[in-house]
Amino acid sequence: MSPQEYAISYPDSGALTYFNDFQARTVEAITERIIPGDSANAGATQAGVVYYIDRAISGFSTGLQRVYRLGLRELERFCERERSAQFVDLTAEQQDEVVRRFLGNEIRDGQIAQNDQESGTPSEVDLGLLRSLFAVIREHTIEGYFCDPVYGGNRGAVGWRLVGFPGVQWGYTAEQMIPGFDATQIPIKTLADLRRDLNKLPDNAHYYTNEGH
Amino acid sequence: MPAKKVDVIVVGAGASGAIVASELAQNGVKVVCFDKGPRYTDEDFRLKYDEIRYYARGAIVPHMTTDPMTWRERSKDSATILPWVSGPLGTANPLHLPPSLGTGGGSIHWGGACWRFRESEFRMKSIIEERLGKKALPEAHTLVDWPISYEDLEPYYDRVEWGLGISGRGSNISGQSGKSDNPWEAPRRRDYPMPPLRQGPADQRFSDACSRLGFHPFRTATAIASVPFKGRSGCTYCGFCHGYPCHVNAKTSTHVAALPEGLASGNLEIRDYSRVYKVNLSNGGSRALGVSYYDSQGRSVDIEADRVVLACYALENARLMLASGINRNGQVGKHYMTHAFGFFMGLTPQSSNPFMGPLVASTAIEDFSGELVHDYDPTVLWGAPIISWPGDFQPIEIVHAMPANAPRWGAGFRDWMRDNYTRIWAMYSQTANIPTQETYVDLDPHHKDRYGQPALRMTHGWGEVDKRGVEFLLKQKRKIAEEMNLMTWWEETTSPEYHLSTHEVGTHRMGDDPATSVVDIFGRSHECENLFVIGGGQFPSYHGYNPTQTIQALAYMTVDHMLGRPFHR
Repeated sequence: MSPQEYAISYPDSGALTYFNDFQARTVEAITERIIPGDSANAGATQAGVVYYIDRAISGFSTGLQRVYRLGLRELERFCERERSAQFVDLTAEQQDEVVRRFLGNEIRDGQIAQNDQESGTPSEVDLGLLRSLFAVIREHTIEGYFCDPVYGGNRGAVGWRLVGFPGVQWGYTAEQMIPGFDATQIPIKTLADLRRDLNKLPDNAHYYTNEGH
Repeated sequence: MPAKKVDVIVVGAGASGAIVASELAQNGVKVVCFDKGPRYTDEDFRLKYDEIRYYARGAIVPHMTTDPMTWRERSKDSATILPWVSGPLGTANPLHLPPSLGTGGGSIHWGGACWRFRESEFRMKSIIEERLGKKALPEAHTLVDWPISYEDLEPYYDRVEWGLGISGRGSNISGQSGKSDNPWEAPRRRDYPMPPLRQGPADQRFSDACSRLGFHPFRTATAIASVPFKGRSGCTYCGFCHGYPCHVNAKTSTHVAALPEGLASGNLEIRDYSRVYKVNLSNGGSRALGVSYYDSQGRSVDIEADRVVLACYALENARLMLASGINRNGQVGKHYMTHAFGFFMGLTPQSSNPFMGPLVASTAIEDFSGELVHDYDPTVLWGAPIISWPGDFQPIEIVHAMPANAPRWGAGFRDWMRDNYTRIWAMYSQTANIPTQETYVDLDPHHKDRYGQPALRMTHGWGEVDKRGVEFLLKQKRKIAEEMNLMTWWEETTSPEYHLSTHEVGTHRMGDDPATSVVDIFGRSHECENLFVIGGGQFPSYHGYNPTQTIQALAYMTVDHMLGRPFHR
């Protein structure tokens, strides 16, 4: 069976459980800067990361609703003053500059906590709140990109596919555990696949015997 | 609510409490066992493969919102809620919190590393002083030797291995000569009941490199069944292991390895979601009358018993004693010890598939353990094994372990994970801090939990001798990494930001002298004659090994004592 047949593609629903449409588009644009996609690599948008975040803060992490609501409002004030535009309308390069401003450079250089009195920054913008917002979004993006698809992100298991993680496997055999084994041969499975297959799985002996090497 | 008196109350159904509760019940003792977490069934964990649930959101571990705990480096500092577990989302890294709640406790989430302490560990203080001089130990140290020897504990180590189920290959088996992987293994009466696990994909590379360097690699023992054991399945190498419950009961978690026999006796009752908050004492405090707890509805309930056993981890044991006013000699909470791991991660030249198999499907070397390290560097007080960690790495955990010079976001971040995830391999060691007057726990005067109970406050910093031990082992790891042809590697600092890792011990020290220790060698309180306080809190000194097998061996000693069986030192 091909990997595509196994990794269940959840319906690409665009429905939202917390964000409004504008907030969702802004968050999606930020996540796409944290894990950008191109023709060869799936990015956060393709993985549906914003839907992971939307469900996370309407369900598990309701305490983070405030940093998103206030932070996104503050981000628009910042972009309006700095660029006279909304974040979603900036070019990718301009968006990266904003992300860099609050998340620090891509490679950590000890300058993450930047001087709030930096020239040109409107003092009435809450920079601490924006740094919190971007730290939260980065962490949420990682989770939403590598989570099981049941959580709304990692749609089509694109995050797992990118890094070569076969996902949810009942076990691995001795042959598969030989060093250098090409694990992309193993069809990716999700929690939904495994639950569906629970009563058709091979006996556990399939995994703990076969000490062939 | 009036409660019928029971024979024994056991607080905590984890690594040690489940053993005591089950063994007593099987011998006709009426036991009520409390746990503040849930009572789990096998069915709960069949589909446990979920990094969001168990890792990112810490589904089975305590959280600072429900079980707050504070930390400061020195007594003169002010303490804050554990800073290393917050993260941007306010959730926590479950590896640096106290162990999982519910039946099985820490033995649900553990990686399953099993070690007997070597003979010399029980005389660590004397050996350091004999070999390096009395001035070698830091001035404010509070180290003491154990009141028992390895020989005293050996039968109980054996009981853990054969009773609960440990896999491994013994090197120093009584009456056997011939193949010996580990020349420094302490003598054992017989081999393990199961062979070692299959090695994780990159483990052989470590093992071969160690052999080429003249070291002595051997297979680590594991609390994971390598073949079917007492009705439990052998390991399927699924790779969701440390921090995760086992889906086939291969992992030796006490909710499957100990509790079922006790429950079958009809003498054991488990009350889950029940939080014991106080040991009730007789006038004068020389006897425990029973405990008070909040039941699953949040109501306060008192229950009486002939004997009370506290088995809720080194930290909560100390907190509960202090909150109950049991600390006449001022020793409760002192001598806190934990591990610095010297985590060392790198990339192998061919794929290592680090998502396959348990982290303990591995090999270790003892060439630098304990006093052996003095032959290489006498400024290091005590050494530890270096252990390969070949598997059980999921993607989010690896993002959190990326090197400091890797991109944290953007296309570079994406490509780093794409190009490197399947080539990850790690090794670690466990350097225990030397206990001093500045490593202890007590009640936090400011922070309380939602029931108004005082939070535990930890005071702990890494000492110079501790850092030296970590650095020495990092040096050896660099040699091994080079010999392994790792493409690149990165290391944890010698003074990590965490001070807690589910490996905490020493907080209710055992000893023969009631003036200088909290419990005797059976875990019985010197102060309160029918109270037992058991677990890693009993350890007088700490070593380069995971604590759980020794905790469980001590629990069997407690069981024998409570059943009136003889013990001869």
